[in-house]
Amino acid sequence: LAVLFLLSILGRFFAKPLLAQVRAALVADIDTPARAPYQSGVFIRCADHGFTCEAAGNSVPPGKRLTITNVSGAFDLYTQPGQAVDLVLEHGLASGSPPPSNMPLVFFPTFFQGTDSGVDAFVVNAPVSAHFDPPDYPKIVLSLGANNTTKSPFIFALSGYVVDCAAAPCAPITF
Amino acid sequence: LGAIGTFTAKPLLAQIRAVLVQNVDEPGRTPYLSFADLSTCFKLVPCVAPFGPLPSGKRLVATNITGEVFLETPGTILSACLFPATYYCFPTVQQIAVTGGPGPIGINVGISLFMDGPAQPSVFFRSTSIFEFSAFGDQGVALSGYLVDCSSPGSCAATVH
Repeated sequence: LAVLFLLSILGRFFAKPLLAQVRAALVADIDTPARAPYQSGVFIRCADHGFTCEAAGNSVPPGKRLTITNVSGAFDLYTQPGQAVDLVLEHGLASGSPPPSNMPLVFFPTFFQGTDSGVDAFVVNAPVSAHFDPPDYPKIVLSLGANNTTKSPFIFALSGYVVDCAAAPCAPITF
Repeated sequence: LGAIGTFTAKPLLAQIRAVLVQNVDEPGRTPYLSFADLSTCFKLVPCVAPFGPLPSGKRLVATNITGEVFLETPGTILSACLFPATYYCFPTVQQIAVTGGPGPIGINVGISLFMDGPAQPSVFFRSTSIFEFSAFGDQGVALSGYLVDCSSPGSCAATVH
């Protein structure tokens, strides 16, 4: 009995704590953006003096949900008085009908970078948070001032990730 | 023993700790940070500078680009874009209205860019004047983010476009 008592005392002082013996379990998150990224380029060629033009990305694949986290791009406009630019990321509905009024628009600012040979250069880079379910698609809508003329096609990169709503359930998007 | 245990054993509840987990995709465990030296762009316009190549089987998630470049004044960067990504451009900021000598232009932007190895990212600058040496002895652009391991079959889905 004395030996057992002595061992129990020694054990209390010399044994490694249980927590220190536990190694971290390795886990992988099925929704890690890098495992299922989305990166798409869209082009917009506005007609000269066009007021509004748009470019659509591809439809979201069945069973997936697209989350766009960033919009980036660059474009040039011929220098004109009364220049105005309005850039919006919108929901494109596969039905072709206009989006409901409560569906959010995502605006992003443009950065004027400078003028060269009568052309004004603009760049866009904005973090966003926009979600799309199939068969809808993202689209960029560009509105210009009355005197604006584009020099070349506008180019934008949409990036984000997709989650697999078949592997784990996705709640409906709340607008 | 029962009597001793009663006084010396910790209550069961006190022995329970949270289970430790380690996320294989934790950014801090596989960071990426590459510097593109722009001294090779001296007197050039436009300028292209490469970052370090990506290892095969890895996917880069670039989250930030920062740097400083110097142009002959008056001059400005009209567009700065990353390649071979799809038209991924970012703004630059004129630091000061210098009227002579090299003028500094700053960069610090959060980005969200994916690129699979063995691609080699590079940065392209379109400017209105030639690149100059830095007044402070250094200039360049740093691309940072993290890598995920896609070497196991099925571990990474193809990028959706």
